[in-house]
Amino acid sequence: MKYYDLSDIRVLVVDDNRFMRNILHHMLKTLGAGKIEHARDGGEALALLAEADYELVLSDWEMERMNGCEFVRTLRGDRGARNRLVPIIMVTANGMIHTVLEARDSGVTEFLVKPFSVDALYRRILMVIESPRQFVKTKDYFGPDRRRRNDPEYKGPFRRASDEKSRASG
Amino acid sequence: MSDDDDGVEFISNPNRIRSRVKLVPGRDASEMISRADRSVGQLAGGFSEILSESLEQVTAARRDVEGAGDREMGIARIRKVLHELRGQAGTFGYTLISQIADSCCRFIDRAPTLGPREAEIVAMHVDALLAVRASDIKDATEPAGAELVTGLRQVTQQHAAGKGQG
Repeated sequence: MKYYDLSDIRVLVVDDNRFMRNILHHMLKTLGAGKIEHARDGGEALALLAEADYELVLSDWEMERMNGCEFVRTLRGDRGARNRLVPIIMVTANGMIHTVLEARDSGVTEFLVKPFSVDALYRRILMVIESPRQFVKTKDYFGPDRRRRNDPEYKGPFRRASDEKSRASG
Repeated sequence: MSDDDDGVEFISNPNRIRSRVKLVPGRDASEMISRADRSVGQLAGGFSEILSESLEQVTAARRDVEGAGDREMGIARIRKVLHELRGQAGTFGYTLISQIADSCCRFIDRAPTLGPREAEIVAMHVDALLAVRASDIKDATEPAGAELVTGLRQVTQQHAAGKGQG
């Protein structure tokens, strides 16, 4: 597995559970992340993100006050936000499909289901580094392109105006 | 750098993280990850304290659910604690605790109403967690653990199938 030196990145961990923040901090530190900061909810995270540049955010989903989904939507929806395009890995113990879809539609970059190992966390970070997705802006969405795969064998409609099948069916 | 496509705009991601990290040729990350895993494992000692605190909280909430307290609010408090527990327990290898907490959270999330029968099923999960801690069972490969998981699965499945009354 490729070895990246992460000592020059700044990471924000957003979680309302102190123990979970500590675990994530510890994992990131042992993976060599340079600066690791913490926020206890989405509101605190937005305040920190307005003050400095971050290369990565790890956010819990269920938090009191502002939860992870609201936090991501607010950040992605703010045209002037300093870290609007920052990669966000959503970390949650709720791996139900509707949660995954809601996270995706709020604009998260990657999804990590608890419990997870250091290996799983590192692989998500590798994905963020090596397979960045362009951002998409539509009238009701701003975030990473939700079409992760580029399958040359795919024959269905792409649901873009440039796609003939979409025009024919729509 | 954007590409308008009938209401869809594509924005190139500058990928700041890529520009701030350095690929180290000739080194494999596996060794670092194993070291990190061992290091995280050392935090497991703190988990027994978390487990005790969590079980105290769910036991207190359960008293409210079964007594004169607000049932729905009590179940919501139990869910909140167990939601945290299902993630933390698994990280430290307490897979059975994680499984039971997850089963309870999913049951609560899917229950259309939270009446006396639902409160009873939530209480069964709490009892199971207390039993697991008392017997120090780590996973469902142990017979007692398997029995607990199977029993809870039957109860929640029967409830989902509409046979959970009574």
